Amino acid sequence: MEIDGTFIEDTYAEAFTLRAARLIITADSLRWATIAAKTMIGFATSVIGCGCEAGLDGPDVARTPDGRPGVRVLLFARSAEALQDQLVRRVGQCVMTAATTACFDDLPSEETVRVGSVLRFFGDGHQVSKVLDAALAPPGAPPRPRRIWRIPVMDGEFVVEDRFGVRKGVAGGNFLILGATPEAALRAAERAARAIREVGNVILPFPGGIVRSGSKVGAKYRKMIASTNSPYCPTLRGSVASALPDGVAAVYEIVLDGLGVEEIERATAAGVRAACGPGVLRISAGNYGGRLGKHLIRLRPLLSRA
Amino acid sequence: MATLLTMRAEAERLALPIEAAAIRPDTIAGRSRREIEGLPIVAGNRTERLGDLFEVRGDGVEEVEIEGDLARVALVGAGMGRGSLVVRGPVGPRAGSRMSGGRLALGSDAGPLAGEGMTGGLLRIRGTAGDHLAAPLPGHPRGMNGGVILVEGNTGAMAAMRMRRGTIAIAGDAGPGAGCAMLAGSLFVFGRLGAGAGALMERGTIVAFRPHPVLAVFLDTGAFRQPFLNLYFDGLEAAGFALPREARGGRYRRRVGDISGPGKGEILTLEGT
Repeated sequence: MEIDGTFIEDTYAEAFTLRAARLIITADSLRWATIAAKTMIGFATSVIGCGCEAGLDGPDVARTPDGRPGVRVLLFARSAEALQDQLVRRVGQCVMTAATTACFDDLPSEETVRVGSVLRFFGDGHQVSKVLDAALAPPGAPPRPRRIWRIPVMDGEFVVEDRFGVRKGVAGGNFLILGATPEAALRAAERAARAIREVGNVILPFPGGIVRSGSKVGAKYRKMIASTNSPYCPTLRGSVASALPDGVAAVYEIVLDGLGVEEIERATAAGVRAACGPGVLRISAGNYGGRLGKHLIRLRPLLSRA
Repeated sequence: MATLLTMRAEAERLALPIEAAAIRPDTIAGRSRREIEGLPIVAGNRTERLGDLFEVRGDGVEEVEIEGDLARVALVGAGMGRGSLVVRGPVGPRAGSRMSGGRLALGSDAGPLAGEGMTGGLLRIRGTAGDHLAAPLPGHPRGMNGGVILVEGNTGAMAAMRMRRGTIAIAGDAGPGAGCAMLAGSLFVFGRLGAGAGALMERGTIVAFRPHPVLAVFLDTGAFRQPFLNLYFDGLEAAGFALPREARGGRYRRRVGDISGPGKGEILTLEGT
């Protein structure tokens, strides 16, 4: 199978189930909402080393709970407990500290974790709780009671939702871009990242949405659970069993997390199509022989769809 | 199709107070028309059959509609926990008393003590509400403890007295003593807020959209934007409440009090109106 002269390998990505939360960060300006969000999603590239994976979700939010400019963030962790821990730390240290911000749950769910109800203690007894009855849910929104906390801070009040919804999400969707030159591979990866950002409910947790240090499971060192993806490192040709065809000079990986397999598939298709073109020799994907992840994202079938 | 109750002409002429606590979806749903007609209604010092005072159409479902002048009928929808009850006409005292769920829509004026002891659900009053809206039940230390009350007209004195939780929005004017001894919750007054508002208030929020008299036991902390109010505004606008143009994004003067007590209550007054 080829798209715009790029060969699509008959392979699949292997993705895992994690717990996900989605939040909306608002501020007096989009600039400050974005600053808070980008601070919050910093150092959140991999659950292995960062405790969670997080990223900006899609375009700016058209309508936010408090009517101010806002951005949407998706955050994934291994369990609801881990998610709560990360949310409390990141909302507390990165959002509450940012000028004029507020933070709201954007994933109504039966399962919830405490965020505002933990952060409220920063108010030192001056925090105020407000409960909105389900009867006051705006049109189109699910009727549910909402408790928010108003925590006094030095520029006014930090408003944060009491609990955040948690759902199962899918992490570890991926594909590999094998380029004839490093420049062509990077340009293709950037095109892919741009296309994926237009798909809702999906994030790219790595810097700029692109990974250069793809990993394989295990290493020659016992303490390492993952190490460099040596079969795809062009400088190791001849030293290891290389997976790279002749002419490939660089490989970039796109890693995706989403709220569901469908979103991951849609984003993968959009990203691969955008990446294909001159200078891109092949698209592949990372997997562990189907033995590790619950979800298998097969490249060719999803690209064959209209 | 809703169960329809129409007040009989002779019942409307009856010069006796009537207590109609039986008229609520909880007691009507699932009953046949004959069973509904047999429900007890207190008129004066006698217990009558509901069918003697109301013509009943249809078997009992969770949507109930009442037509007639119920100005002398107390406790309409009292104890309601589910379903929908629509009244086309005025109602007497204590409508929606002890209401814990469902929707009670009053198409005209409501007497005093509407929503007393309410803990949940939605009470909507298209006309005016009498004194002591959302008051405590007799002998109880707390007033309204949950739910939403929307009043499209004015309210009498002492609305939201000792309110503990929930939201009340008044499109018209609130009489004197609104939010008196309020413990928590939110009271929105889009018309004039009467004298003595928030006296003895411990916590909770009163939001006023016009200038109003302020008790000396409230301290001015300055004017601030209050983005959290937009969460309420979305729901109130959807319910048909007209917001002043400046309400969203405007600055609200925040006064805290009553400082003769804990002083953690607040009155937010929209500036520039």
